[in-house]
Amino acid sequence: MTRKSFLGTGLEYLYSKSGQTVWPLVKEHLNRDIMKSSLTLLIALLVLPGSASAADTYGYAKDENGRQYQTRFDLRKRWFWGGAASFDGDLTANLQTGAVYEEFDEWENHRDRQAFLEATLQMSTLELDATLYRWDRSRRSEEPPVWITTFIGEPRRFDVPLHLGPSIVLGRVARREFDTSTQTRIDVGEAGFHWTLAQSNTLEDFVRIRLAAAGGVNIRTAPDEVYGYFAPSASLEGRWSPSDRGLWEISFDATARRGFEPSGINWTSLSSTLEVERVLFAINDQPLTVFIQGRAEAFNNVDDRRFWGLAGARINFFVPPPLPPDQCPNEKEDFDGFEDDDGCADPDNDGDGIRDSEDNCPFESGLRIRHGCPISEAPYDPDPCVRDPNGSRCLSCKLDPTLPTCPPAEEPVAAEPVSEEPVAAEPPNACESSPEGCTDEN
Amino acid sequence: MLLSGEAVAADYEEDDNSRAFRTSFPLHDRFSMSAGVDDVLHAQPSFSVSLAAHFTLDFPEEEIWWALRHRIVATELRFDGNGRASLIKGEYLRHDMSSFIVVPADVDWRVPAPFDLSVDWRLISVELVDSTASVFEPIAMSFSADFCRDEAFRTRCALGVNTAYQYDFGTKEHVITPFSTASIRLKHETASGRFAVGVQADAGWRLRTTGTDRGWQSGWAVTSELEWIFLAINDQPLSLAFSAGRDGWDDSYNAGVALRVSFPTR
Repeated sequence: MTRKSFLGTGLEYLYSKSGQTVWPLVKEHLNRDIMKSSLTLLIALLVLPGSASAADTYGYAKDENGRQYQTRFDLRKRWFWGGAASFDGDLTANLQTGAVYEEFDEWENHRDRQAFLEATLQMSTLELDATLYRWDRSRRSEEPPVWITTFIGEPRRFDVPLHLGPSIVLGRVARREFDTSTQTRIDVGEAGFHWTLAQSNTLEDFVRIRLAAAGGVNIRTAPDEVYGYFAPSASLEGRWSPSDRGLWEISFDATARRGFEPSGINWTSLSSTLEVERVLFAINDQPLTVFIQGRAEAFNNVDDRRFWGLAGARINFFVPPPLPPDQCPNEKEDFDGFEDDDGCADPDNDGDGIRDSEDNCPFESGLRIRHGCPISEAPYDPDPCVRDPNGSRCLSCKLDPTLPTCPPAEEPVAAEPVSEEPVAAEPPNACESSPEGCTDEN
Repeated sequence: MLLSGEAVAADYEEDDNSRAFRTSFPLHDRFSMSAGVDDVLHAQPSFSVSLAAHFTLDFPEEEIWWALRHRIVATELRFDGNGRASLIKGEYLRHDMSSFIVVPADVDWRVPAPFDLSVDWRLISVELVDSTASVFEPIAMSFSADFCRDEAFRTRCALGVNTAYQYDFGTKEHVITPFSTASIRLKHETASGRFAVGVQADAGWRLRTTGTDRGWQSGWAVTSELEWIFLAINDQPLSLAFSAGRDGWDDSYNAGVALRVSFPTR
């Protein structure tokens, strides 16, 4: 897995799509700050995709004519527009839009989920559900945070998956029409935390309980009233991508809220949603999905129940392929620029038997006597210092210019026959073949 | 001198999924907190909380091994206002590999001594009784011969004599025990440290210097305790601690049960 920020992934994706050379420069000058990440997604949404150029990369395939097309989709990164037929006794139209972006950081063992400008509009009654921005973070830990050992009978260990994470929502609006009045509930902000009961290795799939508290404004008509409120809530949420190609998405949530207003009007809101979505085909590698959704809601009290069924389609933009599966789920990638996408640590990139931390040329197979560099490189200088001809004072020293005196020069090694083979293949009796005997390096 | 070292691999087991968990616990190197009920045999039981810090110093010499066990700030507070606390309780155990005491002479005398030696002591203890009266005990010591001779110090069968001094602020009495009581200590704990049981009985005479009971007073007392670690959360053991006692001098008795959470320090 690659340790890339939301920003980095977005820019790289744009770069791969557009082929423009400006993106690496932009990427170099921006950091992982989350606000800048958000800005980058907005930039991404404004840039139309170019032709796919990610030849032979994970998630793409070629047909017999050499034409390339995307076959895997990460629907957790997309900008979508959708339309659906909605049935709640009457058949109406429903429009949707929004952008979501999820990023898994293997290095920090967490996944950030963000959504921007999500909106669903019910056309006949002009009922609206919209969210300006939401974010949450899930974590995983190598070791479970809590484990219990019982000593009744044979000792046994039970792991308790206590994975907690924060979440915030900014600017959530719900507008409903009733027989003689309308009501608009605006959550200015909501903060909470969630306890993930079960989650996949990359935190993509999960079932969790979320507890939150929101503050907002309730706007009612007939009679006209505006009141602030405080509303704690509890939710059960889940997401599941059953296909490793990212073709399916299943999600559900059930939320109970209790609102307290200064007017003394307290309300209970219940809502639940179940949705199944499937990639049907892709146009210019932009997948079109179809979905069915069932919703139930009691907006102000339990007796005020409503049910919807939706069936529709979404066209999704900027959906990259998912990251390739982690080939080493039990070890961390070392992110040193060498095969950083396979999820495996590479302690010796060039395979010369010299660990990268001790290898001056970690991407070129070399010799230990040359500190891991190949023999074709500049010859190894046993005395890296320029000495005062009248004494041993250092005039300049590559190792450390501040040294008052030069360190003693090493024995010359140029005359020593050097095997071209890596150290691992060096003959055990190499010393005997040297006309000068063994040096310290041997 | 060695502070009892780090936890070792032998303290842990692995299950079929290679998950490690601790199965051995150091009863004498931990910080413990208990919450429970005292006086369960009385009409009005009282809730109590207690805490103590345990640490051990080991001196594993070639022929003679020492284990110096301490309990620091061993405190028990009851919700009815009673309680007791000791600044430090010590249990110094000496295990000798030979069975003789050598007395230097022209030809050394080798006196048969098929026992180990131990010293149990308390320093600066206070006992609150009925929230008002209090008993202050600067020091109490017990010198014992241990016939179980367990080199791991897990089992004790000790016979000894006791000395102590107490001052009762309520009755303004001095109570002195000048090696005039004898004690027997029986203790056992499993190698895993998950189960420990102990009984101590004292009998003899104590001297009261003032008050209506002035003079020598005979009596006896028995205390017992049992601890069983039945669960561990994140390798921190959770145990049930039972205690019961009968004091013939005060004609009182007590029984309690507590839930104890411990934090091993090694």
